[in-house]
Amino acid sequence: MLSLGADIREDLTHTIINVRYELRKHFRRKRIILAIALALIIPMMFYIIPKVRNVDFASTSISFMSNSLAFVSYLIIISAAMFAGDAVSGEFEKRTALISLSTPQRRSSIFIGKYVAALLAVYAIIAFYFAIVCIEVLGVYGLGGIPEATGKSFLLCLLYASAAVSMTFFFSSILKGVMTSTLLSFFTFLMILPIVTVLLQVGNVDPWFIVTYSAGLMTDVFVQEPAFSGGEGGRNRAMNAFTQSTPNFTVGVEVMAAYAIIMFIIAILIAVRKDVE
Amino acid sequence: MEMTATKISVIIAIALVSLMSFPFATVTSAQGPGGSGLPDVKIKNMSFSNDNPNENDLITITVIVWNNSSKNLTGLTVTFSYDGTNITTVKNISVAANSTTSVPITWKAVKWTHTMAAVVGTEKAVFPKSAISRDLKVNANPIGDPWTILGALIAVLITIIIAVAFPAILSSTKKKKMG
Repeated sequence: MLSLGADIREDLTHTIINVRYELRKHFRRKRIILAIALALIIPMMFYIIPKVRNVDFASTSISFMSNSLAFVSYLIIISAAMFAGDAVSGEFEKRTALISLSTPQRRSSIFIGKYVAALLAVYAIIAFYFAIVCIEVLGVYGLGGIPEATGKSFLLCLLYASAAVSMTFFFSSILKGVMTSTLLSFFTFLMILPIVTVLLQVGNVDPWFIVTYSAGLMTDVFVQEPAFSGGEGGRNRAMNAFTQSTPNFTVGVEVMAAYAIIMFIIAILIAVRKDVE
Repeated sequence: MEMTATKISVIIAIALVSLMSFPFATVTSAQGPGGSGLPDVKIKNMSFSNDNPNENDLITITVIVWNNSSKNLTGLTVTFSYDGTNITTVKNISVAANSTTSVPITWKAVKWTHTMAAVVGTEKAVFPKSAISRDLKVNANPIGDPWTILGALIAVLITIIIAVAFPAILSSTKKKKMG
């Protein structure tokens, strides 16, 4: 009989083995390559198109950074669906769970390994995206061009990615089909939650508890003066509207962390109890 | 007798002119060079205690009111605003003949660029020609701090570690209970 410490160490080793195996699987299936291609093409467009069309770049590096990062949330959603969409449902749909779950390791080690691998893959894609944007900023605006808020934006992207992966993992654990779980997570982040946010705002309710609303912080941290027309009064009214629609920083961070933690726990609890039919 | 629309318009115009001239009665009868009935008073200068303030900074806005007439003026007001939004109105200002007086106020800076304005008047009306305006850029405070986000990410990491260790702890507790 193993002591508690040795038992935990063994579970940790199993989890690490699973993480490695899952990451290798992502490479083998060319998912990472596809996601890296997206992370390269999207920010490159913000550099190439103005060059080709002979249009000036944004007046400040903050604007350039903010514009380039406007699509990072889509990349996070796509990557999360790609890497975590089939993490649990795939094992049961393809019946590979019959083999993997019969190995001498805890089910929790297998599923946590899958979760961590998906998380690391999405983190790597985000890091790559930021690296490309930073290189572009350096090329256009020089050494001092990187805005101070870049680090904060990067960390917020990692946090949002954790929430997105947890949600996708949750859908993967409650549903049996890979396609269903992947599409549900995709549509939840791209359509359902943004629609709920707008409806709540129409009803004058602050949608602070919606994770996609908090995700706005990823670019909101690049504080820049909005350009408004309509004279002094118009500018004033528009600024008030702008202030009201911005999520609160601390609440937004807490909401993203809560989604990441709660959804992960529920997903693991469901996954370890799931029966292979 | 039936009144035509023209006659009604003339009556309304006379009434409006009468109403407009009423507020100036509270100001000592200083008149402009043109004899328009308006006191020859205007704001010469507007200055800020900090020309590059940050959001929520308390800055002092000072205007210099200039009385270009030969009579003392009392009961004046100076109304301060930004982008058309009223900040405050300073009342009971007196300016001696051919002299100036400074009127300061304190304002909690609101982010972004604003058109700061001030205008002299009385309790009941303002003198539009006395107005002055100046743009002021207020730097926005940075949103949030990285430590909060790092804390949240560490919380996620700790949850994962606990999730790895929890089944072992649970089975150990069960074994202990069973003896």
